[in-house]
Amino acid sequence: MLSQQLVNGIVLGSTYALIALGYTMVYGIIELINFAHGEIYMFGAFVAMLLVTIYKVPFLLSLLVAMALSSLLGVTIEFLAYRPLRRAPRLAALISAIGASIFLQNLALFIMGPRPYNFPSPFERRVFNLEIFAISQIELYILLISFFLMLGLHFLIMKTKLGKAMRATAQDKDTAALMGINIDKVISATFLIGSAFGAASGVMIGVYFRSVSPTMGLMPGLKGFVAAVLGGIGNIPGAMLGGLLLGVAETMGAAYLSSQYRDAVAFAILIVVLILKPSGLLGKMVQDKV
Amino acid sequence: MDNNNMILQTIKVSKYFGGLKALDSVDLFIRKGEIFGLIGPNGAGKTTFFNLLTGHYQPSQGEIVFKNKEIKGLKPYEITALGIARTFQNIRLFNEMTVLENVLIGMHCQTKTGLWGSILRSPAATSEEKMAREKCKELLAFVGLDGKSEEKARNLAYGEQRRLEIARALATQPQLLLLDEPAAGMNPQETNNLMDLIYRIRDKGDTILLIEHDMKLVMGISERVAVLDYGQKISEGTPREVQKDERVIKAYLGEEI
Amino acid sequence: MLSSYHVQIIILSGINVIMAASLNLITGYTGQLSIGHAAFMSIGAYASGLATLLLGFPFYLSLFIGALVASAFGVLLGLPTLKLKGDYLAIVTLGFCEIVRIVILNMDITGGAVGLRGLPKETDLLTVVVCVIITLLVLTRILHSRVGHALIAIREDETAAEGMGINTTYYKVIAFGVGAFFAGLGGGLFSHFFRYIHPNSFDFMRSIEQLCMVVLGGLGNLWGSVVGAVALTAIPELLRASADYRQLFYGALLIIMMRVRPEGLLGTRSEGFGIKSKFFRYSGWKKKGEA
Repeated sequence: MLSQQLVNGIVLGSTYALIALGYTMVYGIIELINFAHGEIYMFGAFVAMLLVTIYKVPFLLSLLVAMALSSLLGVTIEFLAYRPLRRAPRLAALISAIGASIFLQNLALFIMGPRPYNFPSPFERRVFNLEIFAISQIELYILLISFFLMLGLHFLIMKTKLGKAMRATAQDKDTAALMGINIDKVISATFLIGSAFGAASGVMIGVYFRSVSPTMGLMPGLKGFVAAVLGGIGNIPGAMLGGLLLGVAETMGAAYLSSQYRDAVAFAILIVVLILKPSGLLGKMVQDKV
Repeated sequence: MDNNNMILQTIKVSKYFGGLKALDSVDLFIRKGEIFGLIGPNGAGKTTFFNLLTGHYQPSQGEIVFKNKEIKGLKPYEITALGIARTFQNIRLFNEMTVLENVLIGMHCQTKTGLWGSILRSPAATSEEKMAREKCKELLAFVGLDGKSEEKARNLAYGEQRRLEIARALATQPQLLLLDEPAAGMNPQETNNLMDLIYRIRDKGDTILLIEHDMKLVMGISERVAVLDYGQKISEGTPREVQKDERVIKAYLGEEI
Repeated sequence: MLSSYHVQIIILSGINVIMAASLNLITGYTGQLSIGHAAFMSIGAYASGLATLLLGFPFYLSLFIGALVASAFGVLLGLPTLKLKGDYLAIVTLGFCEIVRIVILNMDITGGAVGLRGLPKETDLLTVVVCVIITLLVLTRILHSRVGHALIAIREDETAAEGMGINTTYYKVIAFGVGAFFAGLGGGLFSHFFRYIHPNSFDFMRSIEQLCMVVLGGLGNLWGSVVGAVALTAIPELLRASADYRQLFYGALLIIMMRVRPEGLLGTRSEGFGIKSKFFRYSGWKKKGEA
């Protein structure tokens, strides 16, 4: 029973981790909570669902198309709502991000209506029954896809020129610009990758729970952010760790405490962690410059 | 040294940032009523030293004694209440507030009106306010900013902002005033006025610890000077003694002092 | 004279003025972004509602109890979390709002997911007007005092404020305590007007709506909050816009305001009320050239 909950938690947690990565990358570079990230997750899920149900596109291809289109949406949001405010007070950009989130969610409500859509699962209902736990085919897919995406991201950040530029920009925008790095391009790339990851998470959750709706991004979006903060915002391994921890804690909380309080668990953990370690689990303490 | 005559003493104070030793076992004592200069090349740890005194940073090692009381571990606001006030190297005024209001905030520790007093506008609160405003106007006149009291702080000229920071610090009624590069960016005329102001503050009975790069100012005004280099105190004494010290000359790489 | 429909709009506007003004104290004046203000409204609504229903308290006492309980929660939230800065604090207020909603949703005494029913309709036009005036009067007085100046100093430069001897944590807790008190008052008026409350009436979107009012009128401008709250309550009502359109509009409004006029309609700074009424006028710390 415990091992089963652990596996369920890890599956859920890996989708949180994917969302958290989007938040943490954007925050690492422009210090903004991209509130619209949850809506990108929702958008990705809708694109894949429509492709699969209406155009009968194979699932994996739908996933890729959804990630690509969501990337474009993410970059567009940055361009329209955040870029003009880059030199404005942080509060202004944050409020603009909240505005973008509300706008997109309600646009989806307006176009698609409030009722959830069925996302037919392309996977067989096969369950692999191992000794200590069972795992379904789709859960296995979620774990695999998440794993390879994160591995790819790690490679990109550590080994490529773009990754180096991103790390440099995260440390010091002005100096990076002086070194000839095109900051605008780096920021766009960050939104591109973060949005693709968010969309991947949305598609997988959509198909896992067989349901897609305009408001589906709200809670996972918030929890993805909680996961990012938990691990130490701006810290990429921290986001992965935070996501997994949150997924496990939530599943355990629902199983052993009370399922009604499932959503409250995430926020309670967040508040406790922030009080004890304000910079998150893997975050560094930054001393204010006087 | 005579304990009664001493206002501040640091004993082997160190501050590390990760592996970097920003300050390394600095011993310093400052006598009541003196003007003490703290100099050193950029990055020598002078501002870090100030931040330790005011509680913005906590020392990694060592003790800080102010008026015979250990102040390590106290919060900045508690240290201000005890009688240490400062100005900031990169002017930190409350930009959207008026000149007068900036000084009024300096009066925070000297006034008592709480939430209920302000909601009910009790007679005590009203009279305290009146008193505070009068006091602030006096201070503004003292630093030569009378007539500017209703201007927004951000609209003041640079030299005026420096003087407003001093007025705001004085409003906390400090016994020890820390000035972090008060003459930076001032022209010779303004610097002369500043020297005069510092003397007048001292004559009121305050002790002044001053970081300054303008050697003419710091050597002209200080009774004693200490030199920091790479976080260590390399020299201390009267301006004349320090100027002759070879380690100091070396630290400044032949810079005229 | 006034149709009951118009009275309803005025009452709703009044409640929102209280909500926006109290949020402005926290976010606009003290600079602590809160995106969970509806939590305090919810606590006030439920606490006062239960005081009326279960304890049989008279209306005004229930209102006061609701505000007091909300204020206590404001202080409770403030004490441990106000060391957090900016975005972290914002996300904690959001989390707090969600926790409050979920807890009320799962409690028996609050009626859980069914909501709290059968409250007497006590809130009338006069009560709301009086409450609005008290709120604005108290907030103005605080803002023009030593306490208010400490709050604004924290917004302007927290490090410098501490250097001036201001115990920043204490004053942030005061801001949250007072802000939550009036939010609780607004909640009590709300529950005794609609006679029925549900936890989901006080969700994240409600908090955002209140933030919109503050931002529209101008952060750090109390009079602006009045204008913002009335505008965002009355205009959609009078246009009879449906709830969907309204939120679409809020989203766009926030983005556009931040680009075009981030200081809000009435600009950022002015603790005074433009009106020269004796009621609002303040003897001390007058400022030149204020709107």
